[in-house]
Amino acid sequence: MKCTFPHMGNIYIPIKALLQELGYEVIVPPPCTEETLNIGVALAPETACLPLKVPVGNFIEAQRLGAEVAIMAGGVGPCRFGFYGQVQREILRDLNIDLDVIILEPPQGDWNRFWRQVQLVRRDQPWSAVARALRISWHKFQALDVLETAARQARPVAANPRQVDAALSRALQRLDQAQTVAKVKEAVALGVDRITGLKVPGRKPRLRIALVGEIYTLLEPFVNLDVEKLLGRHRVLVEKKVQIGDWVKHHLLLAPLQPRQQNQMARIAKGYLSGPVGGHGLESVAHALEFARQGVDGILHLLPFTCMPEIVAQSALAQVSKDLGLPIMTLVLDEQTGEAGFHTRIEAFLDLLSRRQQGEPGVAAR
Amino acid sequence: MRSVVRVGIPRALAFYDYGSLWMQFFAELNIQAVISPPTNRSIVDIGVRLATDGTCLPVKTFYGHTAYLASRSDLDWIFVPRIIGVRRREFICPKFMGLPDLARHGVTGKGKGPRILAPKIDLRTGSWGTLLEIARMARSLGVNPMQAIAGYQRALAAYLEGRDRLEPRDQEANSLAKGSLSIGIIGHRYLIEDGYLSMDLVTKLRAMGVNPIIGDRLPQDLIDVKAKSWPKEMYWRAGRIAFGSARAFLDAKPVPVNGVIYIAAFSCGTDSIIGELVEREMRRREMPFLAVNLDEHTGEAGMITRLEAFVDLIRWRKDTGEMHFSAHG
Ligand code: SF4
Repeated sequence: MKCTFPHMGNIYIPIKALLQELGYEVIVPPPCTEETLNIGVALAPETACLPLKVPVGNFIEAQRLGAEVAIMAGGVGPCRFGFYGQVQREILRDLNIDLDVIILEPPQGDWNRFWRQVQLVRRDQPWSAVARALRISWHKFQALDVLETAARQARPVAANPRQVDAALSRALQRLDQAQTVAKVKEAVALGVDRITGLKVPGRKPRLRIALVGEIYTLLEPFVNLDVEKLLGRHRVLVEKKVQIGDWVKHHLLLAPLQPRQQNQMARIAKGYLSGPVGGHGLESVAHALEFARQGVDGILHLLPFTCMPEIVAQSALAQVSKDLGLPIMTLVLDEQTGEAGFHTRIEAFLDLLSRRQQGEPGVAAR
Repeated sequence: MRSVVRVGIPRALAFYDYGSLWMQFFAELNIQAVISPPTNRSIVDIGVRLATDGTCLPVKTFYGHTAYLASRSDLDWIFVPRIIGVRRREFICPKFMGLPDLARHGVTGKGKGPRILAPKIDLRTGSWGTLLEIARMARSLGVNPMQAIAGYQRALAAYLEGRDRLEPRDQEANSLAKGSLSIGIIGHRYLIEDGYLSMDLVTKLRAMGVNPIIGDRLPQDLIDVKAKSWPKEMYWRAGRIAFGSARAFLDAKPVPVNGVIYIAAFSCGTDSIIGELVEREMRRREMPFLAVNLDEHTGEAGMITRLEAFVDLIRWRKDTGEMHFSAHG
């Protein structure tokens, strides 16, 4: 069966490995382009956010390449994400597009359904194959974090940040091709080596900026207009806590510890947000406060237009910024976000931070 | 502190569902409750100014009501509960969960003036936690916690009884309307029942000779049963009501309707999903359907035109029995 899934940054690498090991023929959707977005915008509800729209484009482009089933994650609320798969499925169905959407719901409360889903995806593969699939994709997920972090750290201090981008994409290619865990480890080691080799000794980044916000927007460069690379070229050291390997670790492997983590987040965010508000709203605020303590120069808050949890976070972050005197800029992303305007805003923000750093008087936060 | 504690309640959002319960509760405790006035132009304007851009109209309006209360020096508190869920496996919109924080950051600040009173209400896992929250709130208000819990229980009983009484009466009204043109209405109560925000849409429909049937007022068990027939269990309260009433309307329960109007808030996160799924189902079943999206820029004249056109269309369809035309607004 020819199987596809939506793009979100580089997750296609571990997901492809997972599905291939399970015996699927995998059709990775073509990389997100303007065209992908246009398809999504034309077909999806107008006020839905990009994390719903762009995957519709991915699905249709993959279907044109022969995909028969699409795998999508579900959810149990309170964020809208839990219904995206449903909406996407109905969009395709009403268009008579021959692509079956399989939605994987988290087990919460309904283990029977979860078991049926597992069986559905596993088909007749032996459990040993499942174990192998999980193992290799797990390592690939973790590898993504390592490689991407190395690139983030190298860009601002490399002779040419674009060489870091190139080294990263070569490393990702090798990771994609690695068939065994040993090969994965090799690819990571080599990648990190090549990437860090590009650092110019003694060079310091111009600024340190943390990224917080909604996970899809943070992970998918097409949607965030490649903000990490952009900042890197401006010699900014970018930090973020929302990373895919880490997410997988905490939501799948350490899922039972979730409530405890949420409590910890709530403790950190105390005074600004008193509890979870769905999605990554609470994390955004807690992460921002942690980054502030670590002395970053500024924070960028990324969210898709009409994202409910992040709108709540946004107002809390405004207060954080005021109280701590730390510049925090919110960037709301939708299909109208033009590259030019986006770059101008970021450059203005960097300007502000630089002037503050030089102690220029009268430069207020925000 | 003054001898009588005075609590302000914003006339917005959950007030439309639970206002009577809250007022009764405060009355039980001899606390004076002050409700902000019905939404008006200046309340919305203030709200729009205070809220961030992407916020939905109802939350902007909430900011306006809260600002009105915050400006009153005779209040000690503003009541903004943190509502997580009111029934098992049901959430409310995520924004409700952060409402007290929004009010604190966006409106009252850290200055003097009334403070935000924010008990956490989560009935998804039973009512124990809520009782504890009420006891805690009582302490802030200087009331004996046991007395507060008892007062809450009396208020709750009265509220539930009142709600149950309401439903059959609506059904009666609905059945009376057989024969005339009936239109099912789906949407948040805080939109539909806020005359200013909804531009008195329901009254306007009545004036056009239409009998509006409000989905939110259908019996809860009917809604629950009908909501189950959708492919995925809905986890938002408002969504369950929308799903349930949409199916009820399609199945001509409790009375046949000739069309359905979905009143949504522009940039409402839940409406964008629920509305889309409902609209697709309506279209497949050839039920005339109109989606109205409200924000602070919605013009009244344009809306009346759309309503009239829609009503004309379904009246014509009803008179001629003509099925094959596009009746989607
Ligand atoms: S449900 Fe929609 S309209 Fe209501 S508060 Fe949430 S986003 Fe706003």
